[in-house]
Formats: sequence, C-alpha cells, structure tokens
Amino acid sequence: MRDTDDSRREEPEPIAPQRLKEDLAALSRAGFPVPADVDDAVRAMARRHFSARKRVRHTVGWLAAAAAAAAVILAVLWTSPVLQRSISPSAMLQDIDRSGRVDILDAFALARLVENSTAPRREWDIDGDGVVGRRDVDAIAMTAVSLNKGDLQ
Amino acid sequence: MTGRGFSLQDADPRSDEELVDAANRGDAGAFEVLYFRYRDWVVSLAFRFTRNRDDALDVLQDTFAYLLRKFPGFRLTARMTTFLYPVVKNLSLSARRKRARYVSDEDALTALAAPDASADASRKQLAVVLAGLSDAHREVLLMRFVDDMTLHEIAAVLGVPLGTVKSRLHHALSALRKDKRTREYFEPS
Repeated sequence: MRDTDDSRREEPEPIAPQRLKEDLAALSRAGFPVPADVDDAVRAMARRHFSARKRVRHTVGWLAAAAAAAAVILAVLWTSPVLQRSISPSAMLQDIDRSGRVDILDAFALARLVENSTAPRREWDIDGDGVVGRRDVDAIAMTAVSLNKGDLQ
Repeated sequence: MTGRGFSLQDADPRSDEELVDAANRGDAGAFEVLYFRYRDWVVSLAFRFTRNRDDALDVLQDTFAYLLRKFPGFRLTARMTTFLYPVVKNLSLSARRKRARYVSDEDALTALAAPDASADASRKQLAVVLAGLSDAHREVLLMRFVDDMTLHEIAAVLGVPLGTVKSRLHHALSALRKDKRTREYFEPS
C-alpha cells in the first residue's frame, strides 16, 4: 500500500479506544523526574536573556537620544553661519575619547560611560550643574556642531 | 513527573498566546510558565526519540534555549506542541547521532515500552506490537493519540499530505486490531 498519496483524504478520521490511548500515553512517558537543577538552569538562562535585552534597549535608547539631539542641532546650525570660536579648556574636557577633536563620537562615548559607570567622574559634568547625565551628553553634542570641524588645534 | 512538588501551569491561567505576548515584552516569568507547562511533554518526547535519559534532559534544555532565542518578536501561529515537535525531534536525532549509538527501530520501541514491572500484561503486549510497526506508522499513532495533535497538524509537522497521515493511522490501528495480543483494546468491554 502506498502511503504517500492523498487518496484517504476524504475518509473519516480514525479513532482509537480510550484504554488504548491511556496505555499509549503511559508507555510514552519518560518515566523519570526532571531534576531541579535542570529547571534552575533554564530559569537562569531565561533571566540572562531577558536582562540582556533590557540593557540593550536602554543603551540603544540613550545613544539614539544623543544621536537625535545632535542631528537636530546639526540640521539647525547647518543653515546658519558657523561661528569661529577659540577653543576653551572646557572644550578640551569634552574630548572624551581623546581624539584631538570634539565631535559626536564624544557625545556617544559619554553616553556609554554614564550608562555603564557606577561612579561618574566630576569632569563629565560638562554643563556644571552638579549632575552627570543626559544634559552633559547634549552639551558635548552642541560643542561638536559649533566648532569648526570639531578640531581642538 | 517533576523535580518539584508543584506545576506552574496549574497556577497560571494565561493562554499560551498571552504568555508569548508577555515574554515578547520582556517578562521572564511568562517564559518560565511556558517552560513548566511543556517541560514534561518535551522531555517525554525527547526520551521517545533518544532512549537516553541524559540526552533527553539535554534536548529539554536545548529546546527551550531555542525557544528563548525567538524572543522578542516570536509569533505563535500554531499550538505550542505543534511548534515544538519538530524542534524536539531534530535535536533528539542529533543527540542520538552524537552519541554514535545505533538504536534500531525495534530496540527503540522495545525500550520505549520497557514498561516497569508493575505494568499490566496488556500494556507490555502493546509495547511489543508497537515495536513491530514501522517508524512512520508508529510516529503518527503517537502524535495523534499521545501528543493530541490534529491530523492537519501532523501533516504540517511531517510535511506529508493529510491523506497520508490518515493512511498511516489506519494502518497502525489496523495492525493493533488484527494482532491477537492487542485485539482486546478494540473489543467491547
């Protein structure tokens, strides 16, 4: 009998007696308990997975906000004359990644530092309000778009 | 059987779809409920294929690791057992290959049925007759009457036409009905 054709498609569904089903189920059971350490391992795996997802969402949120702020400022200032300014010591403090220039990468770097650090440094308080946070990231973004090419030299 | 004295599935009234939605929103507890709801079924199915306790427990963890990686963004478009069946089967067959142990169909079913000493005679006979069925017929029989899948679900999971599922099921039940060792299941009580 070929068993890969579809000729029985219209036939009624075969049924099985209840006792047969019960005995099939009994024979199919694993027959051993799942150890508690397996349950614990799955729980731990799930906690790690969902915790990691929360951290990624939070960090991406920060970086996206910093990038959005810088993009808005850039869009506004791009249509205005770019002012030449002398480089102040405070601008040098904003060169977070020590690249020799203040640019949007420093804003991103500060956002990451603030996100991951448990002891913010005083020099990260860019706007001098006594709090290290998003405003300081925005301040660097402002500097980045106001300096001529962001160079400190 | 469980390693603890309770089942979360009894305590949580949410449907699988609601639990999936919650897990997509980052609720680890919802995923845990899904785990306990399907844990025993997954390990039994894995043992059915692997015939090895340690492999079955590994497949259990790997199955839920696979499910976990689907979040966020998982859409449950079928019953959870229908979704998990091919996952468990493929992981189990991989485990068997890794163990490099040849387990013949007959050995597998004889072992599956290794009913414990307390199993009654008819169940032992059933185990022997099941061992004589082909893999394909036995699998459909168990998917329908143990895993409680509909014929359409079985066809979708196995990738065969509906008529083929019915044919295999007919053949399996007919074999049990005709065999004097299992004929009694079909006789009126």
